[in-house]
Amino acid sequence: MPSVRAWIIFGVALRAALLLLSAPLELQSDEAQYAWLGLSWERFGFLSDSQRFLWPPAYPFLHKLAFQLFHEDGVMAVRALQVSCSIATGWATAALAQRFVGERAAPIAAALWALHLPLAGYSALGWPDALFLALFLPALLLLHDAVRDSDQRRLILAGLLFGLTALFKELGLAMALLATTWLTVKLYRDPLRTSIPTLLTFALAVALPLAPWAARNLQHYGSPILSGKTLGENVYQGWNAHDHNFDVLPVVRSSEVNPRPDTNSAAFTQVDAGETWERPGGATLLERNHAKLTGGLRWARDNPGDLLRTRVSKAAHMFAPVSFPVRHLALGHFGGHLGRGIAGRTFLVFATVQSILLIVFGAASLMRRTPTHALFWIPTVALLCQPLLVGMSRLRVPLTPFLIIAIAGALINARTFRSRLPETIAGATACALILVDIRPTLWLLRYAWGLEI
Amino acid sequence: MRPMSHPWRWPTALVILCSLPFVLSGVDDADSLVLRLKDGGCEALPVLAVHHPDRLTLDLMKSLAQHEDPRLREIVGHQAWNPHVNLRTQLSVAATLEPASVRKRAMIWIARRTTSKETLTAVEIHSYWRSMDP
Repeated sequence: MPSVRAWIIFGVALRAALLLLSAPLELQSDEAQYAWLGLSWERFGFLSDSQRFLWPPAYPFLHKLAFQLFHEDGVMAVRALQVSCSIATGWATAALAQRFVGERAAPIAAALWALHLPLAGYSALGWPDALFLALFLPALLLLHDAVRDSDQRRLILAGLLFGLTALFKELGLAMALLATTWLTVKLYRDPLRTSIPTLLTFALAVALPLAPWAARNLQHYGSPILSGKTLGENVYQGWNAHDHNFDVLPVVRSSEVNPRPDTNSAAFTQVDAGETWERPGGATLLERNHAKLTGGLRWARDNPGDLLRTRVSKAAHMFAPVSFPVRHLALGHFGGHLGRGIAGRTFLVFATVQSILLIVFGAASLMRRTPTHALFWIPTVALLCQPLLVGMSRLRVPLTPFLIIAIAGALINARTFRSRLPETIAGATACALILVDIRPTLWLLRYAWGLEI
Repeated sequence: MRPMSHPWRWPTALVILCSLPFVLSGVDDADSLVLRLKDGGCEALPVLAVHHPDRLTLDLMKSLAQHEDPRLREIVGHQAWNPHVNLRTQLSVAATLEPASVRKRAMIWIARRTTSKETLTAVEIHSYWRSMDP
């Protein structure tokens, strides 16, 4: 088995190759909005909100910086940075596998990270997930090591990294809060004179990168928004009678296939579309956000059965064996060799098979419970809960390293005797979720292959 | 965790550092913000939009459309004006912008607002960048 270092080099080379093979790239939805925000920031000197929500500032800032340094090639420069930073993701995935499972799990986790095409493909796309992972996984690792070794400096560094993750995605703030809660529990038995300053040191280290942004938001919005303000828009998308499948819908729209194909999830997840509530207006971002939260809560209260049914379809969207790189392929957004012919179809087949393997074996491996550390399970469970709000395959990206670690653990403990029933049930549940979305998934894959014209 | 010799040293330092941005920030009054915007401080526009939306008037937009700084003429097309100035009015003012390159750039901001169905394309980024004043 090649070493962790060799797998990381291979993984980064694969990501670089995917970027080079996919260029020139076209922008899709959020990618275009991030570029818009960066360009606007560069030109006018301020970060605008997106009217419907406020994203955390770091990713638009990187676009702004990239436009300043690399001019019209700024978008590609950000993606090249993502490829470079994937070293940290690969290294941290292997290191966490070593901490949570054991020495032998590290090269397996590094190999799975290196070879998993859907994850690798995100380095070439314009979403902050790749950079988020490059900060979040090292933050988790540093927190683990800081507590294990009673190392104050690593604890501060972990806090700073957690804070930085929240400047990329709001998910980072949720993870920082969960990490702080874990640390509180961990320090519970220590004397107060040491535990309180230690806890405060971590919490304030998290707050430090957020403070300038929160102060700016207090000035701009009258509220010290720590990370972003996207909950209202997510509630509008997720707690509503409409079901937007973000993996398939953009492709259906751009394909202009007539008559429009049926890409709904399984019939039992369908809800009364007459109950759909419209996106409310409002003079300011905060008012609009609040109005959407109110609308979503009202819908959930009035339609509890529909809320449950749509949770199944949201989970199915998250665990459908597709990915945004595959969606890009279907949309024709890869202008290079990856976007057509044998390279495109090879990518499509491998990415789909790998997604199925990750989802099914990942679910089964979690039930094997090889990693037992709370710092593995807290983010894993939190990330598995995302369909409580919205669902799409991109939500699987931050979960992927944890599934990889679980699979690595299951592989090295494959011969350990334990009842297989929980693993079988988890694997079967994952298969059932894939089947819920089989109709849109097959349509997308056929279209990307070139059969559906 | 191992006890530290000065357990409150780090929390104290971090509290001071976290407080600094809040101590240093503050919102100017409406007149100062309008003045700053007219002097080229575009960052005053979103602050006006939240704290003094009544000052985002058609007159202000028209005065910026005539400004000598092309950046301030171009900001007429920015979405930070909406919903305080409606889109139709914004389009009519943007149509008066000179020269044509500034008008074209302002139109990009209007047509590709973050709520628009049609989003910014790679080609538009290239042509936008190349049309900017050196």
